[in-house]
Amino acid sequence: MSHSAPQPPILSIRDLHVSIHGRTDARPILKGLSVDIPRGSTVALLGESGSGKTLAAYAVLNVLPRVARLDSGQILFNGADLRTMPPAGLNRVRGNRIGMVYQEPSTSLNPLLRVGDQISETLTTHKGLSHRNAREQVISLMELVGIPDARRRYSQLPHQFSGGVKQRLVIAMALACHPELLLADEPTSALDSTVQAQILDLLSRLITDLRMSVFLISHDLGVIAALADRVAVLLDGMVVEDGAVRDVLEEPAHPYTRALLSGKPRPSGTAVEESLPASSPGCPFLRNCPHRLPVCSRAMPDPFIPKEGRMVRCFLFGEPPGDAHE
Amino acid sequence: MNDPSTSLPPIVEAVEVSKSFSTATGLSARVGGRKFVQAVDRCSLRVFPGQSVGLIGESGCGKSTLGRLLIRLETPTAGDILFDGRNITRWRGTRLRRFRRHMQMIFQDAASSLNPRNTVESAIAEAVCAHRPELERPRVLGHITALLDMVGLPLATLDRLPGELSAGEKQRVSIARALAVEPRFIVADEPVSSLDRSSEEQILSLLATVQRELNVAFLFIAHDVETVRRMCSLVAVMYLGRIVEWADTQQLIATPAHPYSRALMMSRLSTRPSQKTRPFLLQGDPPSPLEPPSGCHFHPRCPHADIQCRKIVPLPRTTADGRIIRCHFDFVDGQRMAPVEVSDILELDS
Repeated sequence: MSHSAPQPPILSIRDLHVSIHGRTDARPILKGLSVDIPRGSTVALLGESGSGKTLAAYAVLNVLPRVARLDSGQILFNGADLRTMPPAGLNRVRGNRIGMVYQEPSTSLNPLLRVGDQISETLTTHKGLSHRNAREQVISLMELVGIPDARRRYSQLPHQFSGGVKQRLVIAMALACHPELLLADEPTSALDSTVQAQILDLLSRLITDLRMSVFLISHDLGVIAALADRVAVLLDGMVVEDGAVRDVLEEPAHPYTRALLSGKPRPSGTAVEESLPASSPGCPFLRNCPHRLPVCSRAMPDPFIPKEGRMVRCFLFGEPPGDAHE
Repeated sequence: MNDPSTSLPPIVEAVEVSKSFSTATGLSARVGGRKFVQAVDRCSLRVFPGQSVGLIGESGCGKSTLGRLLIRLETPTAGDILFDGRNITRWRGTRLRRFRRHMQMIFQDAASSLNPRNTVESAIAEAVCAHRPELERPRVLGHITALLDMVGLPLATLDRLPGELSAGEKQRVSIARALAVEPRFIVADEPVSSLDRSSEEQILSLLATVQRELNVAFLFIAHDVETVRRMCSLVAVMYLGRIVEWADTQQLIATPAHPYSRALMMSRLSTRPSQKTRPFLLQGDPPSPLEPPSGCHFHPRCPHADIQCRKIVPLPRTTADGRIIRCHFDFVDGQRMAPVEVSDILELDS
């Protein structure tokens, strides 16, 4: 990581609000999410299922499902707002300067097309390569991600590959155009643990060798510990803690992060929706927090910066608010 | 094997059971020729009354099929299933259906095992009435209330539909329904895999309570040892249809004996970046069950494999520390020792 250089982050998500619209009502999911991905580093967004972390990934690429709406916020990629970019410009970014890896490899591959052609499509579309030139590059990409006998396997169909190799193909596809940013949404969650270990090993080697910037989205603390430099903890659509992976996972500050690490984020409640009162102004972890103060039910604390590169939103830290004593 | 309740006979026992499935049926089988997948290959397993046994392995290794064989949702192609000493391998029809109330199954995806148009009350009532048809309606309701209480659901849940419940609550309903017939043995097939971390914790502790208080025996199927360690004192590790290690859970976690078990234990990720260790990486990919490797199924990915592993199927043998493994070698601190003599293997196996 090279924080010292005052380079702007490659991706900066600022105050992002996304809501899901039902037939009668709208429910806010992301309520002011802000994350920066500095160039050359891997930043993880840690969230439980239902926390809206995948919506954040969709919002970056402007591929939100129809029921979701981006209400406000900025998504700055190299300083340019992807939200206001015309579709043609966006198409030049997606798959080209931003590569994507999703959870389930079989849904990222067309079952009827030869896998090599699916990878080379990225190259012919974005780089204008001829099919013959693209083919050679695809074969070396397949070798790069550790697929033996790539020349023969180029012409095979997705069902002829195991889950782990399919994910390697998806990674090859994501890397085809040498993207500046890789967006990886639960890249190993659908894989068995011994295969997951292999894919994590591959990803961490590629990240180092290609000096990639990565936006990693995961619920798995182990995956985050293995790959990320920094982690942002998502709770109720906001980042409640943020910092270097080592700091956050070894000395968690926010009670929610501590609970996540102990494996018991909600000892008594049940589903996420139930433990989060829809419109209360206070901290969303209030009900399950062992350290709550009277003020916690009235307001959400402002971000507190205990040291350079670390942030926590909790009244236990920083200056006590004016009305904390009752 | 070191069992806690040695005086009692096992509640359920699989003796060298095998199950193969045909990949093609009808015309395609006649034209293209039939292929068989050996989903379960001569597996033996015992569960004693009130005991919990874990069964772990990667997806597609046959662990669910073995679970379904134990409660006769599938019929084995070879071997025997004994329940409470009775050989139920070939039972069919009404006799089997009546007997089924002694054994229940909890599935991974509670949503698909509940009828979306039936309320929680009617889902559980169906099981209660099937079990005790003589009960009158108020008594049935009393039973249901007690079951809801057992699984920690409020009474208000009674007239909810599955769609109105969270994933964890749905799993509680399916546990309540499984308990309604007062079973003596439950196969829990990945009961927490589709839940998030906090619901997972709650369902695991609920299952542990059920096991302790009702003295039900469990076969707990999971893909990692983490979920079974709390409940199960014994655990079987499966790889491509075969049980490759059968050991005490703590023993397995501390010193896995089979190379595959070791890979499985070492692929667990640490959540502490400062303790990041390089996992023990396997070579290659899991083989296809359609074309299983010769000899030991694990040999193409095993760092210790040699010629005998490629040729000879290792038979189950008991190691010095009392576990059963299917490997030609003994290991000390991950170092391979001299091969076990084939005569030893045969002798130990018989």
